[in-house]
Amino acid sequence: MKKMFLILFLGSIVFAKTISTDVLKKMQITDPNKVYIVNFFASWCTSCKAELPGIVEFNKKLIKDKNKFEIIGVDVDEELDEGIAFQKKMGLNFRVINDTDQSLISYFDPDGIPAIYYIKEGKVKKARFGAEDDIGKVIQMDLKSL
Amino acid sequence: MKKVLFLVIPFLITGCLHISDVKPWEKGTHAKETMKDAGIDKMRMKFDTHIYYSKEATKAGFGIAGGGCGCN
Repeated sequence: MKKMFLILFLGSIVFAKTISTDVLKKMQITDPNKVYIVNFFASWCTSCKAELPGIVEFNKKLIKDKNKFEIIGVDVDEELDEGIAFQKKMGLNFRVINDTDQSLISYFDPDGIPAIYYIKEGKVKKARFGAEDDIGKVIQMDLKSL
Repeated sequence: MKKVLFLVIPFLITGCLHISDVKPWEKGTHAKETMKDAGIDKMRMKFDTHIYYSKEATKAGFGIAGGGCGCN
């Protein structure tokens, strides 16, 4: 009986980490060998505003490894105009998906934003919630630990 | 009367159970300037705070820390 519960529990963890093909398609996550760093943010989120310049800086270093890693931004603003204006203001140098119906973020269901998910082979390998002071270093460490 | 109350009260109680939590990404409207106590008028907020300070001889204790998005 205990074994069955353990198997069900472990199974639920593994199942929870696998992303559905619809979501992967929507996010254009196609390369199984690539690590996708998905960052959820919003224009009204103060912590996201503080963290995004660090991600922009880190992406400049990441460009040489663009075959291995890719940063994808997901703007969860309900107003598309507000979201696009914010993205321009922040000078984002990575691909951004405008999740105006908030379906993507609802699927991932993070505890807070900004939220970063590391996706490889269609699975969430690691997640991080809340802003970090030196996000570049934090991502670098996370990528090493994957 | 008792029968009616017996039927109505469970409905009222369970009605409250349907209220779901506001998710972190659903707080966009809450974060707007117009949702603050004094609205978009920052001077009014300062004025209110000044009166509070004068009357109570104490400061702060307003609002919440952070960006309102459930993060650190």
